[in-house]
Amino acid sequence: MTESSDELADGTRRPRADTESAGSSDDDSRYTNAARALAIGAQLSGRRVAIEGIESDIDAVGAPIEVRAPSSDARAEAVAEADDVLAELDAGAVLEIEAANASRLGRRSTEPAFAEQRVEAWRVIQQNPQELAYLYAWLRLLMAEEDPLLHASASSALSHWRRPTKAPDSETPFRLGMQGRTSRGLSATQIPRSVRSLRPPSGGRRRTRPCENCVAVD
Amino acid sequence: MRELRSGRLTRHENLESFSLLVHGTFAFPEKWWFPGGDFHDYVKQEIRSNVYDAKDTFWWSGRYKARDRAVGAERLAGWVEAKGAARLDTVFAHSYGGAVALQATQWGLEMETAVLLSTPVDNYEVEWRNIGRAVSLRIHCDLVLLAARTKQRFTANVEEHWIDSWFVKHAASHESSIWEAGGWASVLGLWGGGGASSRVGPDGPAAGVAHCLCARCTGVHELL
Repeated sequence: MTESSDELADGTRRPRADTESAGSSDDDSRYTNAARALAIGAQLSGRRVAIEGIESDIDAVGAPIEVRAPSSDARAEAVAEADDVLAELDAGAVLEIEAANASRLGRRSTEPAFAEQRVEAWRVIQQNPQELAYLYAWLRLLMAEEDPLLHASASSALSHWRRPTKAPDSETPFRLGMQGRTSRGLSATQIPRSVRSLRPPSGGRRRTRPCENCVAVD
Repeated sequence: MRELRSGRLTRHENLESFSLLVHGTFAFPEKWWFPGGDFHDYVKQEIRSNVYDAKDTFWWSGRYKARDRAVGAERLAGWVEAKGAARLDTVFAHSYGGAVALQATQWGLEMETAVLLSTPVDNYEVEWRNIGRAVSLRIHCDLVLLAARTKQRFTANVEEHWIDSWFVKHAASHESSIWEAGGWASVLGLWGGGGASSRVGPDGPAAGVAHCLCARCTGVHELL
């Protein structure tokens, strides 16, 4: 799939549903992965209504729509397992990035740091969307990227958690997701702002004329 | 004292019926919806000549707060009443501006047609009997709405339409170039029906601009 063949008349892109796009840096893939992250995040947080009515769109980006929201205990367990998944994927650097909470967004590179690992994790997710540890690992891989679009999408996906009243603290990725939102003003509008800043410039107003075969029809 | 650069300063009052553009979240400083703005001009020239075009046009805070939208809805109904209109003709509302317009029906606002542009679907309280017809235009998998975690499809009372655009152009539904290229005024049925005096339509006043529905060009015209 080439970029040119997927560019629509208005300069936007079509989605890529293939596995390889999980680690690609072309705009089709970046937008696709942002949509995947947001769709998965909505389901994991129990806000399934966010994907109601757009199931065909979600299918077009290759994201699962049968993810069930876990309990808080299952969530904590899955995030701990995701640490192991990241280690297996040779992406232990994600934990270091999370621990340092470094401001990687300052460089704003869209070149993926964890391309292979994202593809591998996504391959498992496509085969078994209920693999919570891989879902969280994939979201954490995206949040660790410098790409503001992916970082914002994954932060949003990982930030919509309500900590149980008596729990000592949220797990690091969830806390970082929330911090990412609050410290940088990330909100539902931050993601579109990131998108807006990266999208191709839109054209000016076009004047049109009817084709020679046209008869005005009311 | 600063002077307003262009546009009409005249306030319209005692209007029988008129059309209106309503902006969405954070769009208050943008121009497209304001008299003289790109989409406002397009609507006036090609779809509804009766679109409200004075500088005291309606606006709301545009904040990302349900409370602000609720207040905006009440004020919209009051603003229309103050203008002396018994009923709006067509309301073009973008994003959460659609929520403002829909909720305003709870305050007695009536409208012939609601054109909802990339409007998120939520549990709005709407008096659908006050709306003659409602249509919706949006893009596929709108990241803005996905991030807001709202539904992206009305399941009742609204005819849904999609632009062949994905992800990023939340604003596409109020871009005049996209309306022209897609012939959306025709597709959404905004040129048919009653109240012809306000319908600009294909024989409208914009010299050099025309639209058609022939099978050959499917409403997309050769660029000049």
